[in-house]
Amino acid sequence: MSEVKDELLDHDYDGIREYDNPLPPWWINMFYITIVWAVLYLLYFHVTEWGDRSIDEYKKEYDQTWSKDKDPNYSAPKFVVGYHAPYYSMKADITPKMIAEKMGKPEAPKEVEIIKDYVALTDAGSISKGKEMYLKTCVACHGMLGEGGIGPNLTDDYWIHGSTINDVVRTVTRGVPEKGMLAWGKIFGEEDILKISSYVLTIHGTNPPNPKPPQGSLVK
Amino acid sequence: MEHASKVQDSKADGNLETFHYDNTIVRDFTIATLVWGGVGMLVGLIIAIQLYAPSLNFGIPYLTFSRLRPLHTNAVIFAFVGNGIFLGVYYSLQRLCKARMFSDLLSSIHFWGWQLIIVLAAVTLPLGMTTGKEYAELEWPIDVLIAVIWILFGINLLGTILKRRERHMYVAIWFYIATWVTVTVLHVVNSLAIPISLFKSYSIYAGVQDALVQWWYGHNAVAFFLTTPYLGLMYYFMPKAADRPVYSYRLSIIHFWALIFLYIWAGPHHLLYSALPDWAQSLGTVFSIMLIAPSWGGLLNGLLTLRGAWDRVREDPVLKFMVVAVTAYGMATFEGPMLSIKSVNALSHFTDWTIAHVHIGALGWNGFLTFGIIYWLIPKLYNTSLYSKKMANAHFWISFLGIVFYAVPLYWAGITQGLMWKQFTPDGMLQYFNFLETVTQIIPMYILRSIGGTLFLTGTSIMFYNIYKTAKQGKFLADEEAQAPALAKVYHATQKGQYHRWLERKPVQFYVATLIAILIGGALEIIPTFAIESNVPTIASVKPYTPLELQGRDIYVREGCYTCHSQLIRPFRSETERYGEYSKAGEYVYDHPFQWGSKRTGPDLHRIGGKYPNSWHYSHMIDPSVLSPGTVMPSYVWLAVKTLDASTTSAKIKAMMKLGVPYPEGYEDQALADLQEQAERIAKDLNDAGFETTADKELNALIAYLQRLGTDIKVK
Repeated sequence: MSEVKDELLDHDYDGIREYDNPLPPWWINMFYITIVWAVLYLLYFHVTEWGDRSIDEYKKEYDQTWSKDKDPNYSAPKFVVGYHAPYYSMKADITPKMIAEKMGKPEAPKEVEIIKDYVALTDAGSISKGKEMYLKTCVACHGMLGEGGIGPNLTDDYWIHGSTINDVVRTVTRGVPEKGMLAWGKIFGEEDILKISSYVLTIHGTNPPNPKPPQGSLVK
Repeated sequence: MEHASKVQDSKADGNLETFHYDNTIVRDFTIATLVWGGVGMLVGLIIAIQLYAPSLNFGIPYLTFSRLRPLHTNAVIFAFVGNGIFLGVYYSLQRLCKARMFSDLLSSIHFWGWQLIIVLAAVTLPLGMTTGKEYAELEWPIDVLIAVIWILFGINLLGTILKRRERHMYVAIWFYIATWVTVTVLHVVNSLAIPISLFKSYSIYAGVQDALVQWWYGHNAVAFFLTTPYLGLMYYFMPKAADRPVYSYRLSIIHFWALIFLYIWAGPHHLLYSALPDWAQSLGTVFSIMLIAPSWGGLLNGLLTLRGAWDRVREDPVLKFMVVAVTAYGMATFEGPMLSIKSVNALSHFTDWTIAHVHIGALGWNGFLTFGIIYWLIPKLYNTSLYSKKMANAHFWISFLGIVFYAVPLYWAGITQGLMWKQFTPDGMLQYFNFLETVTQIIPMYILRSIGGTLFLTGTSIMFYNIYKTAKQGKFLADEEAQAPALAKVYHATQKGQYHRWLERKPVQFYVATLIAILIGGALEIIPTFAIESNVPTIASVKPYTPLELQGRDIYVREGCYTCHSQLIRPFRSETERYGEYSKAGEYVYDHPFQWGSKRTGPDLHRIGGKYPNSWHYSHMIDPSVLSPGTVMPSYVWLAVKTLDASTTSAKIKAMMKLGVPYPEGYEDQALADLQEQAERIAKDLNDAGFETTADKELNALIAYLQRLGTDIKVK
């Protein structure tokens, strides 16, 4: 029986009647196909182990030439029996990242230097604008008077990322993300950053109270 | 096949009996559905707006996104849809069984008990009393209450089935039975916890195992709370409203059993690329794919039942709502399996794509089916006709537009942000290394989404008025008279060889068969993951949390940080470059409960430890926008003011030891001193950085926890 005949069964539930039409062939075929696909999927990844596990994909992201056949450290995962968690190596200190580094991952190109030569602004208007912006943003980490806090002291003779106007502009523009300083270049324009940087240079040597101990290298 | 004129089984049965359907309980659950639906949607709208206007919490902890989000999800799932299930079950079950509910008292206890649970949830969740497990956030005393009320409901359900005057159980009842059986199992297993106090407990499972149990629960809450009971409702109310026979009886048999057997396996698709074993992840994927056809079986039987009634769909708001509901169901149940494919999930997971997906289900399937049922039902209960068809049509179009405005921007936002996270520059650097940039990019989409939510809620409000006026103009029929012959004791089957027909006559056997069907998948996934626990070598350098860190972790749970931050770095270059080494299963062995999260509104925190100075965290918690201008994270300034309740420390350590965390013997007596010492150190560090604070503040504990996160195996 494969055509829709719309014949009523003798079912009657509170007035609800039922036909017993056949399952649409496309529906039943779709069901079969997904079941076959499921079996093949499990075979491919967990029985034949032809497929890459998550972690294998990850290794390939770092090294496209990597394959498990060539990797002497590769241990085949077993399905359920002898199970181990996928991203976990007994020697937790050995990670794909370290392997990738040892194998020499392509060196990231050096940061493109800002070739533009800046000249610190000195006019009162720019400096006061720079100060105004400093007090809105930089103050949270570097203090009201540049004495430092979360971030380093800006008034002493020690600098972590360079002391020239070009250095300061670069630091402010790119930030120091690993220490929590934002890349302000994405928030402010170049002109504003130059004003902030120029202001920062004006507070050098002001010896504010509660200074943060020196960090970085001495620049006289 | 036998023709309709075939003699009804029931004719051979006993004398005609007169009895009354209980409509009061149906009406009460309908009111509760509407009221809690409104509340759930309103809270959803508030938090949707908070996503771009975080100050909308007015600086009040109880109104902060991370505490309201669990309230929204719980309210929509268990209050709106929950009451919706009960209104539909209590109406249809009585009529399908040709019997009044087994016990009016149980009905009444069920109703008031469920409302009490909801009120308790609405109070405790904003107060921060939470287990930190999604959609299972309620603390253990409420969990116990839920179990009791649910079992009473089960007794009432089974009692009514047993005293039925209809020989066979209709497909709707099969779905009700599967719902009750499975939700019982899910709720009990996932909620097992060791109490510390009346308001605080620790999940007995840790880390990877907790994650597996939680998503076995979470996924099947979707399956057996949002799907199977509503399929049951569809099977009753849709043929009723359309006045058409169900398309195919045999399809209903096959898709019912396939659905409940397969659904239970699919939970691990919430944990793809996680630290869950690969084989379990793969089971999640393949069972999700196999679910497409069984899910669509329900869609087919719904839509094809409407053959011959499509002209009426254009006119009748009830059918309109139902058609969209079933279509949304079909879309969501196709999208779900697609999201379970690893390469799709790699992009979609942790983004708003998931949020869009679940709202197709919640707003479209559950919402619209509920609305359709209520529009059909209320005029019947009040023996009148709908007050305004025009208003119902307006509701339909406004809310339909609401779904579109909700979902489309969020799909856009999810894909955009997912791609931005993965974007590298040609130099091999992350293009958007500042997470915040990927957030500010999608804020316009958040704004559009909240407009969609507003539209949906507007439609619902129109419905409130329409239903109120309908009830007002009619006369409520509390006890509806009906007649049916009693069932004869002995039954002679008129058709031989129909095994399923036999099962439909045998409720107890049906319960057992259902239980077996749903236990297989869960058991085959969960038991191996636990049994081989000893085979999972713990990482030697991973140590239990210090007492202060443990307290800090509980604050992390209390504030609901997991609603926006994950603790799971997937093995993608784009994630390890951004966050650090990917997460290992062995790192979570002391995490009761796990806190992997499911959505990244903010960055992952699994390797946040040691990344910033204490002072950064201190300043950031007090006002995140100072360090991250444009951030959508609200201030948690109260943490810097509130004193940490350290008196619980020894009880917490003891509970952890009971759960197998290897603190030295007798450490519970030493813990408080250690806690204070560590707090002093952090406070001194903060003082040195210029922050005036003392060691007894909650924020110190949270900082201690954050600084510890992911550092045990940190790779330099």
